[in-house]
Amino acid sequence: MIPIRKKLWIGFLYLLVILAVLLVIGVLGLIFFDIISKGIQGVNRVFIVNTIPILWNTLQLIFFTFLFSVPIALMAVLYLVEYAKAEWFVKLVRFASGILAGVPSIIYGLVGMGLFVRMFGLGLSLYAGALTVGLLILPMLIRAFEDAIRAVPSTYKSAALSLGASQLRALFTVVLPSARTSLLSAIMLALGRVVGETAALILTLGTANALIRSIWDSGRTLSLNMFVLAKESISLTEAYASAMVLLLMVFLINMIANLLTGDGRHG
Amino acid sequence: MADIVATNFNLFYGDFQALKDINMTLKERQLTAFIGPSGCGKSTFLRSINRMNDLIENVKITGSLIMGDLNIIETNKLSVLRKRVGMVFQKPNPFSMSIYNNVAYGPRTHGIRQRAVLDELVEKSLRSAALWDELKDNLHKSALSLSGGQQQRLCIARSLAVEPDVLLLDEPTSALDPVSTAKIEELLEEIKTEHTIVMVTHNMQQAARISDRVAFFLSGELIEMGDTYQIFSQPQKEKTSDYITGRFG
Ligand SMILES: Nc1ncnc2c1ncn2[C@@H]1O[C@H](COP(=O)(O)OP(=O)(O)OP(=O)(O)O)[C@@H](O)[C@H]1O
Ligand SMILES: [Mg+2]
Repeated sequence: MIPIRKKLWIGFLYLLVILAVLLVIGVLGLIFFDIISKGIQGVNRVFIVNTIPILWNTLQLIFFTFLFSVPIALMAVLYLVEYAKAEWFVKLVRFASGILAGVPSIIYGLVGMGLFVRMFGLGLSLYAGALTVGLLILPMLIRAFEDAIRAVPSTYKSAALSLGASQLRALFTVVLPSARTSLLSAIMLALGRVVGETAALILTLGTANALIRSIWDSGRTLSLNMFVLAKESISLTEAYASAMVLLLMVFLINMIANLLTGDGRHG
Repeated sequence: MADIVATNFNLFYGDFQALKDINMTLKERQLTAFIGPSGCGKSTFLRSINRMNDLIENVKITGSLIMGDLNIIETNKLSVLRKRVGMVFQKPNPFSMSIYNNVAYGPRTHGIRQRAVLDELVEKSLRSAALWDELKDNLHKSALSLSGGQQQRLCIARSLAVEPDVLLLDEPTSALDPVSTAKIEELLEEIKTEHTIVMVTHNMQQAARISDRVAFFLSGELIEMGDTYQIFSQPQKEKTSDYITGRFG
């Protein structure tokens, strides 16, 4: 028999957990409700015409940011996990990415402005913006990719090698595909940082109200648009409508990505 | 196909000597069982035969290990060696891909691309592993949806698909139920007409049932090796008889 006091204690903890869950759901619901109820009022012809280029800018920023950062993060992690011999070096990289992941984005913005915009002469552009945000999410990508790849049982790799596969082939045909779901969640987490970024982008991408037609162009993303609209008190309803579009976009990208990786039935 | 011959074979993990002066011949088309208490070096020796010890740092080897014209210790064509010497692990480890792609993985690794050839190899290998009839209609299902016993037979099929001369098995049935174990023993007896098989086992009955020869290891040394019947009925060394009668280990 469980003593009555212990039972009460367990009941109390249980209650706390439920309260916490309700709180989280409640806050989330409130945010959604607030954004959608206010956002929907801002949707009209003018808004749609204004937003389409901004949405397209955002998608381009996402694309180029990941184009720069994902391959680098992946190769860095493959090196760390598979090839790096010295334990201290692996530890150092892990320590550094831990610190870098916590550096405020405005600092990346400053560095990006000094380095890419000025020194490399890229100007306020998609190029400079994507490189800066790519740098910003690199540490979190590296950490999450490393966890994802280390979670793949080493027996998979042994099996591939025992069949005559090279280390590289084992990595690309067995280890990475086995980690695809967690690699993707890492990317989705980073996506949140990319679409939400403002501080670093103001200094590198700029906030031009224009469609980005080449990598050298400046332009604003949905978040930057919201920032400008809200800050300059131009239109709060339009800012809310932008927020709604942003939420929907992130939601859609997540859905598509999940569909693409599937459940691993067909390798 | 050829015998595998170890001469004065030593293996060190750093300063620790795991195998001491091993001299033995693994005869072609026979099933040799490695027995001995935990930590005596059975897996270490098994892994030396397809160079899986290369993955472990600070391994040092002296002596020789030769299969026909192939110097196992010195070859730098690991892919060729491992095509000739396949391995099945203790825990079933199919890839998270379809059954078909699991079996076709090895042949594809060695450059086979034509669908018809792959189809044929997959069928032949699954038949050898006594899985074809069970699975032929579900080749595109995930291998992870199979039972443990089926997974292990799939791993055997996967190894057979590269058409190796030698198959190394490290306690292949220790994680399986008796029925699955019996199926694997049966299929091993069938394929040994075409393959040299080396199997580590902790199960004396299993060794007695299916092996042709038995090698008894103790603390990194090969104590005794001989025909299965001889080892179990009249072992030459006292340590061997102590071990097989269950006095230690
Ligand atoms: N990677 C390694 N590094 C250092 N020592 C090792 C390593 N692998 C094995 N050893 C040591 O080598 C000895 C032989 O190990 P091995 O795994 O070959 O034994 P085994 O006979 O297969 O045992 P078991 O029946 O438990 O599988 C043991 O003392 C073990 O501790
Ligand atoms: Mg072992």
